[in-house]
Amino acid sequence: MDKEKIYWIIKQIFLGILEGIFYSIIYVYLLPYLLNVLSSSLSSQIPLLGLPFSSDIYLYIGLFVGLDVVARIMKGTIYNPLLRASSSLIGLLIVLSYFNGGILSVGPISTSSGQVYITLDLSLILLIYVAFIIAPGIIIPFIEYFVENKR
Amino acid sequence: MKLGILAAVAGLILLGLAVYPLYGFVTGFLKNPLNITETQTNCNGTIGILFNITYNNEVEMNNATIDLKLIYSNGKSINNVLFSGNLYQNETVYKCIPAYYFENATQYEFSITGKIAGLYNFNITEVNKIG
Repeated sequence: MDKEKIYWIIKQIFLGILEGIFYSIIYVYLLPYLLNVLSSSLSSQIPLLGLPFSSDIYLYIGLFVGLDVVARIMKGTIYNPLLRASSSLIGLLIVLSYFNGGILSVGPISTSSGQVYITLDLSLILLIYVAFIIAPGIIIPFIEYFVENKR
Repeated sequence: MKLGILAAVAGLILLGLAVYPLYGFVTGFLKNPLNITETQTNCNGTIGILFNITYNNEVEMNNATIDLKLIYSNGKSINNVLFSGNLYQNETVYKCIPAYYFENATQYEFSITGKIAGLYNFNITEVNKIG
C-alpha cells in the first residue's frame, strides 16, 4: 500500500469521526435539547435536562462515527450510500422516538387551582424535518452513487 | 451534495416559517395565560356561576372549543360546551352554568382545544377537585 493511499484512509477516518460526532450532536443532543427547552418553557416545574439519552449517548456516538467512517472508506461502492442512508435512518428513529411521533405532552403541573395537562401536536415540524432533512439524507447518497457510476 | 444542501436550506426556511406562530403562541401563553374568572350570579332565574374567559394571545386559535366537564360522585359526568369557534386576541366568552349542575360534583375539568394558527393541535386541561 503506497503512502498516498494510507494518507487517504487516515483522512477519511478523521473526516468520518468528525461527521459522526456532528450527527451525534444534531440527533442525540441538539434536537432533544430543543424539545426539552420548549417543554420546560411551558412550565417551570419541568426541569431542563442537560443531556438526554445520557446512558446510551456513547452507543449512539459510536454508531454514527462507525457508520460514517466505514461509509467514507467504502466510497465508490454500493456500501457507501447504504451506510450513509443507515446513519440518516438511525437519526430518524431517534427523532421519532424522542418526539413521541410529534406529540408533546406535559403534565400534571400543579397550580394553585388544580392540576394542568398540556398536549401540543408538533407533527407538522416533524413532517418538514423528515421531508427536507432526513429523507434527502437517505435518498441523495444513492442518487450521487448512481450518477458517479454512470460516468 | 448540492441537492442535499438545497433541501436542507429549504427545510430550515420552512421550519422557521412553521415555528414562528408557535413561538408567538408559547411566549404569549407564558406572558398572559388564559384568564378565567368565576362569579356567582343569577342564570335565567336560578342561582348559577358565571364564567368569564378572556383569550389574551396574539396568535389566533382556530376551531377552538372550551369545555367544562363535571364529574359526579356516582361516576357520571356532564360536558358543557362554553365556547366553540375561532378565538382571537381579547375575545371574551361569558357563560352561565346553573348551580345545581355542581351539586354532588367531585371534580370539574376545564378544557381548551384548538389549532394554533390553524397549524398545531393544542389542548390544555385543568383538573380541579371540589371539596
